[in-house]
This record gives sequence, C-alpha cells and structure tokens, in this order.
Amino acid sequence: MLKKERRKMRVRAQIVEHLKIGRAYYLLGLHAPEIARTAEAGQFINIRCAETLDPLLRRPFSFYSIDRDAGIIKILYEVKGRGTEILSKYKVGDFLDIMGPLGRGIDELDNGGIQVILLGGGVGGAPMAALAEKLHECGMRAIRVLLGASTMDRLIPFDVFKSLGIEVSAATEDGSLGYKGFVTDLLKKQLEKFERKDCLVYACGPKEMLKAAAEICRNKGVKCIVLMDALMACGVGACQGCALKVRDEDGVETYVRVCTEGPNFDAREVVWE
Amino acid sequence: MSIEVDLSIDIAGIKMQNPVITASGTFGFGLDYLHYYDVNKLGAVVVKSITKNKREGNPPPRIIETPAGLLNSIGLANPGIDFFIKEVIPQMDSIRIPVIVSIAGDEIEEYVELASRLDKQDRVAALELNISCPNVKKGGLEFSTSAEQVEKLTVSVRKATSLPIIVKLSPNVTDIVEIAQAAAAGGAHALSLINTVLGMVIDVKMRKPVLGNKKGGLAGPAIRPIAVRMVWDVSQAVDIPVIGMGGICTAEDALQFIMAGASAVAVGTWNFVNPTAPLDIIDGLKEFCIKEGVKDIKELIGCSWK
Repeated sequence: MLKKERRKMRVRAQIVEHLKIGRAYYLLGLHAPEIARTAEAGQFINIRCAETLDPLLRRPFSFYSIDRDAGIIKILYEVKGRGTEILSKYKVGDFLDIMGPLGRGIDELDNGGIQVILLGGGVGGAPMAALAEKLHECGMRAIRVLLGASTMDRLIPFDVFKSLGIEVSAATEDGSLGYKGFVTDLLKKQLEKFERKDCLVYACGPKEMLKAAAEICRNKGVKCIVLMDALMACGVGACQGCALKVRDEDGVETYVRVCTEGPNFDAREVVWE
Repeated sequence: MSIEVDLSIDIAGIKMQNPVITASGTFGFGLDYLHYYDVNKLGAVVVKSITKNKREGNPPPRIIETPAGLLNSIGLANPGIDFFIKEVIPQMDSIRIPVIVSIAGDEIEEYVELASRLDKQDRVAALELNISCPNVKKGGLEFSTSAEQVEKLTVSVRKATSLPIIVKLSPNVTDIVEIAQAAAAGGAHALSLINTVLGMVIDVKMRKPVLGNKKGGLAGPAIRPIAVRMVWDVSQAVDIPVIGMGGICTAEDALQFIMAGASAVAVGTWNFVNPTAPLDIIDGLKEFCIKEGVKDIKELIGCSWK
C-alpha cells in the first residue's frame, strides 16, 4: 500500500495548447514533464480550475495523450459546470496547479494476439486516445475504435486514431454521422465477428452506455474493462468520496474508491445500480 | 532573521513541534499524502475514524460541492480495528510525529473496546472520540447531543486507557458549551471542534436530495465563522485545551482560531485542494510571529477574548 518513491506529483504546469474542438470540447495541452514521465493511459490528473474558494474542489480529467519525450500531457474536456467553464478561459502560457498521475493505469495489455475494441461515448472517448497510443506502442495492431455521441458535434476527433492507422466507426443518435443509433449497437455487431476468448473491450462514457456495454460483453463472454467517472474530492484515496459498489467472485459487495482502486474496473465486478 | 519563534505546544502530554495538525477523515491514515510532502513537519496527524468492525460506508453519491464548501456523507467507511492494528499501524513507521487515532462507535462498549485495544499500541499518541459523525444512523447524533451521554462515554473510555482523550464536538446542538463542559467533567484531556454542520443539497431536476444518504455534513471555508465562534465560546468555558477546525485554509484562518482560544488547529477539507497547505500555514504562523514580535505562539491563544 505504501510506496516509498514519490511518483505522484503536484506541479504548476504551463499551458502549451488550448483549443476548442467542435462545438462542445476543449483540448488542453500542459507542459508537465514530471507527470508525463510516469503517466499511463487510464490515469488522470486533478486540476485546480479556480484560485478562489468557489468552486472549491479540483476537477479530475483522464489523459487524452501522453508525450514522455516532449514532457507534454493532454486532456480533452467538455464544459459541464463552473469548474470547466473557468478552465476553458485559460490561455496558452498560463499556469495551472495540477496533481497526478492519479489512479491505476491500464495494465492488462499482455494477452498477445487479441482483438481490442475501444469504445467511447461522448467525451468518454478521450482516454481511449491515450490507450490507443499505448496499445500501438506495445505493438498491438488489431485495434478497432467505436465512438458514439448524441450528434456529430459531440464526437471526439478521429485524428489520433487515424494517425495510428486505426479504423474508427462512429454512431450518432441523430444519424448526423455514421450509424444512426447507439454506439453499443455497433459493439454488438462487432462482437458477432469475433471469438470471445480473443477479444477485449475497453469502454468509457456515460453510465448507461457502460452498463449496456457490460451486459453485451457478458452475454458474449467477452472481457470488458470500464473506466468509471465519479464525483471526487481529493483524488488520492483519502476522502472516500468517490465510492463505487463492486461485487467480488464470492458475490460479496463492497465499496471501492474510483480514484485509487480504479478508475478502470472489470465490468463484471461493477454493481450497476 | 535569526529570531527564534516557539511554535511548539503540549496538549495533554501530546508534544507537538507546532500547532498544525490534520483533521480526521481528510488525511486517510496519513499515508495517502506521503507522496506529496514530508508529513513529519506537521504537529500531529489525526487518522480517519476507526470502528470495531469494518464499515462499508454510505451509498454514493457521497460528496457534493457547495459554495466554498463540501457536503459529505461518507458514513465512517473504514477497515475496522483488526485491520488497522495488523496492517495499517506497521506502515506508519515513517511517521515520526504523534498519531492521534479517531474512534467511533454505536455504543459506549464499542468505544471502550477500541480504546483498550489501542491503549497497547505504542504508535498511538492519543485518541479522539468521534461522537458527532452526522452520517451514521445509530449513535452519532445521540451521543453528541446529550451532555449526560457525553460525560458517561468519556468516563467509560478514560477507565479503559491511559492515553490522552480528545472529544470531538458537533456543532449540531443547541448549546455546544454544555456538551463541552460535560466532556471536561467526564475527564476529557482536550476537545476538538467543530465537526461538520448538517446540511442538504437537492437536485431540482431529479426532485430529490443529491447525496445517497440524503443529508450530509458540511465542511470547508463556508463553515469557518461558525467554528471560530464556537471555539471562542467553548475555550472560555472549559479548563482543557481546544483544537480548532472548520474551513482552515491559510495561516490567517489558523490565527483566527488560535486567537479565539484554540491551542492547536486542524486542516481538513482544504487538504483535498492544497495538500501542502498545512506546511504553508506553519510557515505563515512563524512569519506572523516574527512580524508581530511574538516569541511564543502560546501568547496568542485566546488573545481576542479581552
């Protein structure tokens, strides 16, 4: 439990890129070499968006991209409340107080020769970009990306995936781009093509989407890793605020901390309420 | 700048190098923040409340941000005393400052058992009795709102241990002074106040309370003036030292509590936002004393009463 090395950091990081993406999202690049050095896909940073007491807490964001050589980390976020509203006003050259890398990175990558499906709903697609980069770096080529959103304006950019030569399929609820309907419908169709033991699904997005994806995967006997979101106060495991109910192999239900035991969990362990 | 300022304080035999500690429930077991700074620079740490049995805590959502505050209903989630003694205490080797263990229970017997078991632990410097957690159904509020129960509990725990006992008081009472006096009469060595203020946030779209437990305890800068006032009232009414807490973020905030009568101060919610704030506060206290020609910070305790 107690690690001597101080791998978690709190730094003042300079903004090197801040762009509005489509109508809904922002891409924020930060120069934080200390964090980039050990950051893993699936982990997150906790940003202090305001210097004032209101809003009080930091806001967690998962990595969209990690460039160790350049010492740059990127997040892709949506303005959802006052914290992200304030964050969106920062300019290139400004500094932000950030903590990270936090949480467990995704480490279940060692099964060679499998087909990986990355499933992202809305801005939940963001960590899939970092994961795609990591999988690609590990030499994995059998990757498919399925992205969903209510409308095409809310799909995250495809460029990271495209530059890695990864095929992207999109679904929009209004049919403005790609398949008309839910991205989980695409998942279902995709899974019909694969042998279950050879496939692994990573998913991040709204809870309803994750719940649906978990059920589809369970029915097919496919392992699904979900990246969970939660309201967080500390982000480091101290406050126990971000509780998630999980069920172990013996059926015993307990709460775990999304920030510390997660944010990624085997979908079969999550108790979907 | 060679002026020596004495920041040290002795509270009921707990020798602290400075009066800045961490508030229970905001610092885990003192281990989560070891990655961020040298915890040994603090006056003491107060670890999250321990109960006899493991507690899962309340259903999520457990927290919601409010104006300059944080409403929480964690519900004393903790691994229980067996795990704490076997697994957590051995990990505290790198913590060399006093470790104050917060204990909570539903019945007096539970507190007594916890106290007698922790009495044998060398690593434990003192016990804080959490009688005022607003987030557990049984016990919590019943203890904290009855002077008679508080006195009875304190007397019983005193018999079970030779460790100093700090009773943590709830602000959710008609007269906090009455409760403070009862704890003192029961033999408490010190008091800490305040715990969180009962509150609620309603999601108007869903037309129901946001928190899974519906009600929660409000913490953070929003409650600071309430806490300062209560420390002022209590510290003048009892002869035992008071540890003040409630929304402390800066040295100036800490000084308010000290001048209101607190012998030490605890940083709580602000740890989540600025984990190194306790160190900044220690530096700030020293700086203030130098600037004001104060040689010993103890001179400032209760200096605003006059």
